[in-house]
Amino acid sequence: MYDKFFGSYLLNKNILTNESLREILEHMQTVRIKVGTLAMKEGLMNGTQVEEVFQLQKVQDKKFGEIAVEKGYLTNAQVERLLEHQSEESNLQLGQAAIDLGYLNYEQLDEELKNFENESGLSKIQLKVLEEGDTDKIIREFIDFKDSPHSQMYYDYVALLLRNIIRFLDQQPWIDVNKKKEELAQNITVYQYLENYSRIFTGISISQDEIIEMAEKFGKMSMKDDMEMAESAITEFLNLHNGIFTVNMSDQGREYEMSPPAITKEGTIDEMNAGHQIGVNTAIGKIHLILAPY
Amino acid sequence: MLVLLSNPMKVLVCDDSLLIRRQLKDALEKLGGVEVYEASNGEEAVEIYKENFPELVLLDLVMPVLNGLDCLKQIKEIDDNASVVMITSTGTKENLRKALELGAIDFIQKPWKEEQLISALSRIKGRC
Repeated sequence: MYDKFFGSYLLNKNILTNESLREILEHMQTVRIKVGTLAMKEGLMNGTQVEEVFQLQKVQDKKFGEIAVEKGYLTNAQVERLLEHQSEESNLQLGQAAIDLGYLNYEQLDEELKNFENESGLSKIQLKVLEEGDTDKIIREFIDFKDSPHSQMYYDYVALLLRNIIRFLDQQPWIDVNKKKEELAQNITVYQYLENYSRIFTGISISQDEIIEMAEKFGKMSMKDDMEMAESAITEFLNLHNGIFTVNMSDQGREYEMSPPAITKEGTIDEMNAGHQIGVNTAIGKIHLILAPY
Repeated sequence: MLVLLSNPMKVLVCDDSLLIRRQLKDALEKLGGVEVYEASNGEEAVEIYKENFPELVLLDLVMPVLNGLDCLKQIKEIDDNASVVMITSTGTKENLRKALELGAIDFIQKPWKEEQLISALSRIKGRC
């Protein structure tokens, strides 16, 4: 998830546009991290040196590591270690994809990676948690449910939603670091009440511009010009997610009943304003999750 | 194509989700040999059942107006031999127990799979 946070940072700095970030996110799944990128991230080489070695590679029939050793930037042992970790490193995929697609060069990536760690407002612990990539830890570090009743269930709810976005929308989600509540009155919001063991308002809110594509991913059918079907698909996504959540809770001895899901397209309802709002980004749009006791 | 009977089998699909109704209808029609009726809540399902006596009802649990369990109860009061399969996202043991007690013949947790539909249809064919 580290690299997707980095992507959001580049977007906020206007280094990437929504369109270029989306292209990068789609491309990054197949990207192979280059040894130079890894050496730069580990602080063994700077962006200028990496760029220089790549330029030399164009005129010399040698591997990156060989040239870097000849230039005195890396030792043979460092090259070997980097090669061993090349396939394990996933936090650099976004940066590598941005370079491969021509949106950044190595010097820019080097500079922005450093800027990100200094300017993102994230603590060292938060950066470490992001680098480790453990979803449960990331949720706990970036979302504060501590004052909520049944906070553990809320954390479980968010973790399950992230898994269900992967499973049913075929998207890699990441949480929005910006904790400011956004105005959702212009969005399409579907919601459902869970009650019995405790009472929870659950809702997901999506902009009208992004709902069709997400709905098509879920429904596995074209919904162009069919907003009614798209709304139904997003409603069913929430219903399905809540259904799985209630089954998980039931297995722990906590029984919930679900209300029929509902939708609001104009304005907001009280629970939306009072509840927690968690932004979940994907390559095809943002889902605002709303959770509130009621 | 799965041709089950010389006359098409009447199947009532009841779900408040337009998407689920469309997906189930498409899947059933692709299998062939069925005539699909649609209801978007339990009350509509009861009315359609009274008029058409479908051989199979695919029934959602969480619905407005009349929920799936109450709908199942009313359908069973009309026709004790009604074949009702619950299709729901909230497949808790408690809901399973209640549905089976009320006479549902099967209970499918969403997202449903085509094999589960084929299994339900085959089961009805075996009864006919």
